[in-house]
Amino acid sequence: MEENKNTPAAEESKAVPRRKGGLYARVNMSVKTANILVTVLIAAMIIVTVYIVNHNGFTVEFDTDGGSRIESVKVMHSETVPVTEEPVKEGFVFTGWYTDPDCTESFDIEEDPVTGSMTLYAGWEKEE
Amino acid sequence: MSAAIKRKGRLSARLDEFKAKSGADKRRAVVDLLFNNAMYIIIVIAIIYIAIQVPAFLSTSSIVNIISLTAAKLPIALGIGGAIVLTGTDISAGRCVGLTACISAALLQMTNYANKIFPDLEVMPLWIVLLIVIAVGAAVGLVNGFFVAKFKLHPFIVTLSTQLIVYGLILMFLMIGSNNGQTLSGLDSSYTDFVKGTLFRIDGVAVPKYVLYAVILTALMWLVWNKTKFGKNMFAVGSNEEAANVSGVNVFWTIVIVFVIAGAMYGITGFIEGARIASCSANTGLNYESDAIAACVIGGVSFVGGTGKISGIVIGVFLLQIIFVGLNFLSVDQNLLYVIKGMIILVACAIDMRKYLARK
Repeated sequence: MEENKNTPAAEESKAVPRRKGGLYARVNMSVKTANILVTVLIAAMIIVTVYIVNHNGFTVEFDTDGGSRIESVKVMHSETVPVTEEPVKEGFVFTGWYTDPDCTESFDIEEDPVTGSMTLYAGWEKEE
Repeated sequence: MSAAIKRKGRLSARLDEFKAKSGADKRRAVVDLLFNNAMYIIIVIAIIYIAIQVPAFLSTSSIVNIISLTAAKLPIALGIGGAIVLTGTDISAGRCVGLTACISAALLQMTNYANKIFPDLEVMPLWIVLLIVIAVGAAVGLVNGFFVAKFKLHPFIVTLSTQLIVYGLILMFLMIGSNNGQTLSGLDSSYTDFVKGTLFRIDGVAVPKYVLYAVILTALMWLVWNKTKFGKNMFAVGSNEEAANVSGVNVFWTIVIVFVIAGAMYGITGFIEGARIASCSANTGLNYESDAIAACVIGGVSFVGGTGKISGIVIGVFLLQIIFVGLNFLSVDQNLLYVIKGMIILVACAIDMRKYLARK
């Protein structure tokens, strides 16, 4: 830009400010006010985050597809699900827990660690 | 080496400059430094806290996981970065990724998979699918760019409408044949290998191939931003559209191309994402743009326009993924993570605005 200072285009561009403020063009406050705003927002963010981290835990829900009801449990990261009771359903045999409703991805409730909130689906096989 | 010396020189020059200042100026400089880097300071403190609480956070597998997630989210941020340099944004990005992910998955399902969306379709060559999704993404970008450039509509409004249109297209696409809106899975191994295959191993932990693709895209975008005439024009238009216009920049095409490149980036992200998550539904890509916008603003791509660096975007995405993975280690539920994400965007923008006011 500097080398063609004498062209009319460059001269005209001097008349308009180089930066217009973009999204903040209409912001009209002192730096002091902005400091207070930023401080308050940061404080709010930290308070919310600390609150959320203190109320942590993933919820594991159980969908027994008409079988006996199992209450959802709260589990921490990389722990296993602390549920040992198996659901029962008349006329069916329980085949294990699955992470999808179609019961294709099995989940070993005693071994597999939890890494997020999820719903486990009970697999059933018709009783002979 | 010379770069390191130069940086050291710059640092000591800054230090001398700082020493020469009077008391009040010194205090102001320190306050500026603290405020401008507040986000980095908070993130570093958070990382230290999480690492102490959960040592597994710094294990090799966790670090590789963070790097992989960064690589997966990087292309979309590189695309949005251009729109932010133009003082705009693009909120159609996430849905665009969703659409292109669904298209890639649909065209690359195993031939013997029972629930194929196109039952008679052979597995297509990867490069054709990649070109198709890039074209689809670029087409959405073209629409965005055209309305922003031609009618001077605010990008928020234009991309909000394309976001909805694209979401409708995803839903219609998933209803094709007998699919009835179901999740697309059962992908061909050539596709999953190409994206998720092992690039190399660190300590026995596999680094997926898409990390390499992210590196290539980053290098490409760095060249576009820094070494091409288009890149210079983009920064000129972002700084001041009228000034750029009078100095002979084609403002219309600069804006259109920024959005088209962004769209192409979403197409590539969709292609990678389809194989990465391996089951694409209408919710794939939801809210991806929020992470990308937050990453760009944290990385110093300012809404003031005309400022930003590719390295900043990479750092922004990386820091954000560290925080998200760390909060997951602290057992923070995905639903509550949205609250934290929203606050991060608000704080990052407030700091960005404060920087602008302090310079003015």
